Amino acid sequence: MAFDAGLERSDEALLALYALGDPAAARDLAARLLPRTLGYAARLLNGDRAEAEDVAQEAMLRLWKIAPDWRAGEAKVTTWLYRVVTNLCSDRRRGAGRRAVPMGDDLPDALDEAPGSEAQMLQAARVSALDGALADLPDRQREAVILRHIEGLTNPEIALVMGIGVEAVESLTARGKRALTAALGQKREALGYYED
Amino acid sequence: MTGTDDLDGFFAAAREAQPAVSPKLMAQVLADAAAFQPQPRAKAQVVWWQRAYAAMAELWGGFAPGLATAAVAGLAFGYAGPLSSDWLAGVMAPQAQVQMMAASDLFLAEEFGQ
Repeated sequence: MAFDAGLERSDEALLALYALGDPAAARDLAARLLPRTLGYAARLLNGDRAEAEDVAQEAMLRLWKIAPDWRAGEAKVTTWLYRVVTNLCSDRRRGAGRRAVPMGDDLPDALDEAPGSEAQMLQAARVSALDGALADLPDRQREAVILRHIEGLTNPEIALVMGIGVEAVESLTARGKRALTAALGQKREALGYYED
Repeated sequence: MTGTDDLDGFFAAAREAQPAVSPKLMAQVLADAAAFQPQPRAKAQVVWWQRAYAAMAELWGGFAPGLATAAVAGLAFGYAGPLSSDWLAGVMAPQAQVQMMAASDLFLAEEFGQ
């Protein structure tokens, strides 16, 4: 057994190993980062799966290309990747115009294929309702809310991703959440939230 | 709807429902990774002295660097000869004196030594 078995390497360490020619590092990085990249892109593109896959592949390609010149300690790989995806999605939205996705049409694959227990169907309905409400938010509010509350970034990290100040991030997420609360409130009982 | 609490439930559901990556997409991403991955330095690119050093190190282990240094120094002494070793002593002039103690210190030593 290797001496470091069981220790999880950081994204930055894996990227350095990739740049040194270690093929296993690419597999580990892709397994770790690609689902997050795809999920974030899909939500920014209102559930357009094909566009999201193109964006995720392009973002990962840029990561492979920058690996030899990566300067350790300056940025987290995930922060850099979220920024690339944000910019790529902005470009695509500007190029193609915003598409409205009807609620219920964008259930994740994993839930589509799962056996339909009531709890799972309820979870899927909530995800679908949230995605529909997110799609109606202005782009910057949607980006900030997704990064903060779904991707789990801190406000300073979101500020780096979006190229704005921390106070602006706080303002965007607050306004976005107010709009989501208003939009989802109408569907509250249908989604399993009942008054006491 | 109370607001934040209910939104947290929606966000938690969304976090658990990240889309699955298709095998096709993963294969494309890994193909890109292989295409752009820098290759480890090839043997032919290593200069001759590095190859020689590596070979010596393999033969002699940790003694190789010291052995090589001693061999070079021995050759240098043999070539220069023991009578012309000024180069080894530096460029000190014959009249040069090295003052180990300042004169005032010597005076004080005499004063207190008696």
